[in-house]
Amino acid sequence: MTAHLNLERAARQLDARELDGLVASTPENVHYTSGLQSASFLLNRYAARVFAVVSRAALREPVVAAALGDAPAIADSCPPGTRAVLYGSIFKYVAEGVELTPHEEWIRRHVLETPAEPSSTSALAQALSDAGLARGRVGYDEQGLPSQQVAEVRRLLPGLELVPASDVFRSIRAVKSPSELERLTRSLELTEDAIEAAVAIAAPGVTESDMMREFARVVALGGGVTVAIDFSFGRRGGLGNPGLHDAELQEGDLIRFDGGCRFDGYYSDIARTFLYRGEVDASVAAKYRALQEGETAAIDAIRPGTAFAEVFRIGVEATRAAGLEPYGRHHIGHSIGLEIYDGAMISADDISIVESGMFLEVELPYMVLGFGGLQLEDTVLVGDDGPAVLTRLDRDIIRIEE
Amino acid sequence: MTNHRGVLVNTTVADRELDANDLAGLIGATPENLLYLSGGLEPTGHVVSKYTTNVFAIAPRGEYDAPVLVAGLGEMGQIRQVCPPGARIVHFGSFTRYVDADAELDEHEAWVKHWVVDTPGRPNALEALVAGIEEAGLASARVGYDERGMSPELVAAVSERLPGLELVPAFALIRRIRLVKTPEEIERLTQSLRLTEEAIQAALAIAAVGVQEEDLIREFRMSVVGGGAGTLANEITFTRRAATGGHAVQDGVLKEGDIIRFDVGCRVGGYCSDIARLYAFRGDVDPRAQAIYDAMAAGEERAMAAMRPGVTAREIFHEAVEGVKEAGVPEYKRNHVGHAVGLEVYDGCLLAPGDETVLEAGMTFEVETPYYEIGFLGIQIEDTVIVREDGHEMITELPRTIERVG
Repeated sequence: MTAHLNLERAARQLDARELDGLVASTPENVHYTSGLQSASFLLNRYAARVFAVVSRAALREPVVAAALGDAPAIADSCPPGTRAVLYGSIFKYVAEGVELTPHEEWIRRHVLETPAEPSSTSALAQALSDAGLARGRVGYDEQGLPSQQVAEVRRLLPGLELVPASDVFRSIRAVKSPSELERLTRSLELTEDAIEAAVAIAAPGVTESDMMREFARVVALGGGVTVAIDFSFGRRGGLGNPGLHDAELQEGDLIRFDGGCRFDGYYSDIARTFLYRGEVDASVAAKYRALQEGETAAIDAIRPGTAFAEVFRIGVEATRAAGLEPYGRHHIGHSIGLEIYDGAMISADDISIVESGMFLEVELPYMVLGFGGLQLEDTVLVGDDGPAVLTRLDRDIIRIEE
Repeated sequence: MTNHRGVLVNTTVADRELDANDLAGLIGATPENLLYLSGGLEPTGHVVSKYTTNVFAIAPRGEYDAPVLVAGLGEMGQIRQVCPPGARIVHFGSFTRYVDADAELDEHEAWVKHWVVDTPGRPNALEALVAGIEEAGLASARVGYDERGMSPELVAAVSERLPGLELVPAFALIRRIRLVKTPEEIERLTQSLRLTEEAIQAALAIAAVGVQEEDLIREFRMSVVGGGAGTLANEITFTRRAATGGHAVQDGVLKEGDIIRFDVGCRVGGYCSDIARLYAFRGDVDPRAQAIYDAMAAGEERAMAAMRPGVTAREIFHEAVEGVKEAGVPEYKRNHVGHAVGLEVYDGCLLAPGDETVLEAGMTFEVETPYYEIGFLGIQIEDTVIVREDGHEMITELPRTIERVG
């Protein structure tokens, strides 16, 4: 339970953009900036207004603006000492003659004793003032803050210049902080455990949905959330997401898996190809080898200073050179973090530059209608000297004998 | 999850609302409105990239079984399986997909090949949306659009391309249509509720001294996903921690005499469930807690008894609060005593003083009367009901008392 803001990078990005601070308003950016994961984003997403404000001068000290109902979550999940400006009304009573715990006392003080702001707009303006940003130039993430509300805040704080800055958040988030790497790594481990558990139930007649449920159970056991996964059997692996996952497993089927989970806000996303009983056909093996060689070449190219477009070119060319011709793709990977597609893409037209501390997925799918799907996707952490592959599952077609 | 391939839209209500607002059709873009108007589409694109919403369902008035679906090529496999057979498609982008020349394609494969390989897509989402509006016959009409899922830039670009088109914000209108559920929607809500009820039992089955809130939540979630549902925000809290609520850290430890409060739900085929219950873990319930609980249950009961077509959400609120007060908690105050439930947990109508929504048969609500006393206990009961022609029907099956467990 911590804020994940990459302090050094945030300072540099804010200076480069001549910003005195940031307002986070999407679930991802509020979590990133303050540690707060508000349930109202899940239960009432179109009405939810939760903000985290930080100033360049005090990046470690976010000020949160949220509804009164979020008070317990703030007390539990934001760094100690986080200031909260709460709005709205809520009715709670206090037991008489009982000594309150520090948590209860925090709630009592913030919810019952402190007068609440009348609206999320006035709360945001107050949070900006509390953060020393009543005037100055502040970036906001326009994806969570409607333009009408921006105008209202400007009216309340006429000395403040508010500028759209979703891209600044994305750019800061591109290089992960240590607390994020812990969560991303745990998320990946959970996904790998869940894949192994899911394919372990393989038997004739088992459905794609059965495997998906087993996957989700193991993820839930580990404290994660399954968002979107795809187990496709046999020829259905060539369809892309087939919609309904009702096919039954047969001997000799290839199983294409793609997906992952979310752990404490952070995603994982990998792909593997399995074979249920039987031998891998020589032509299939050759194609898969070409994908592996393309993936290896792309991963090797992921070094600080290289453009994502160059990684794409190297990966696709290596796949073709290894015999999979023609081979075409829109992208062969993406950054991952608080979102699955977290910013930069390994695609022909993404000119972002690879930096140390980036967390990336590299993937080479090959889907053939009438045949099936082969796919391989791995997780890479960029270090100063080059890439480290974090996925531990075998990178070959994995044979399931029982 | 479901083999339904049909319409979710309540056609009577949709026609009525469109006519009342002089609209010839609707464009859905947010995940919920898109799912509703498309018949069940949950785009992969929304999962990997939630801030890029470029899948649209265009429903001309009266043609809800033939929506025009505007989507990237990656969504075609799913559209074929979940959307109504009459759906029309305008796709965009390019997607490299190969075809085994020696294989005889089945129907699903041939469908994907038709769209992804054989039919050139429009160059981008804007071009496809413009073409989709034309395909729907709405290029010179007054059309409601889903402003919470479409950027002002996109709306301006579409308007510029189709000068005869008048686009009117309709996010709230689509949500209003969604309030009155169809039998298919009620089926999904009921499935969702049953899985939540089963999961509560699964969680209670591991209740033992020393077990943490987190353990019960994990068990609850495993049960829900094992049943094929998606998870939502879930709170399971013990005794005093139930009064503060909303915990991000679930570290309470169960001891004899604790009250376990559930406020939990899940999601099936897009549809949400939400239940609150108290359980007494070994030992008797404190008499004052029981008295307050009885008052809350009485208020909830009175609110439900008042539900029938023609009554307003505001009136239900006052029934609940009066019911609680008369049953023994005269100081009771609340902002709302429940909410519509459907594709969202808070589905667009609150049982609250300011809400003048008139109840109609087919609406589905959560009714709840929580009472939080810091340092003592959080007390809550929450049930799901359908408004029927002659009153209400309770869908929750769990007993409405504080059950003993352990």
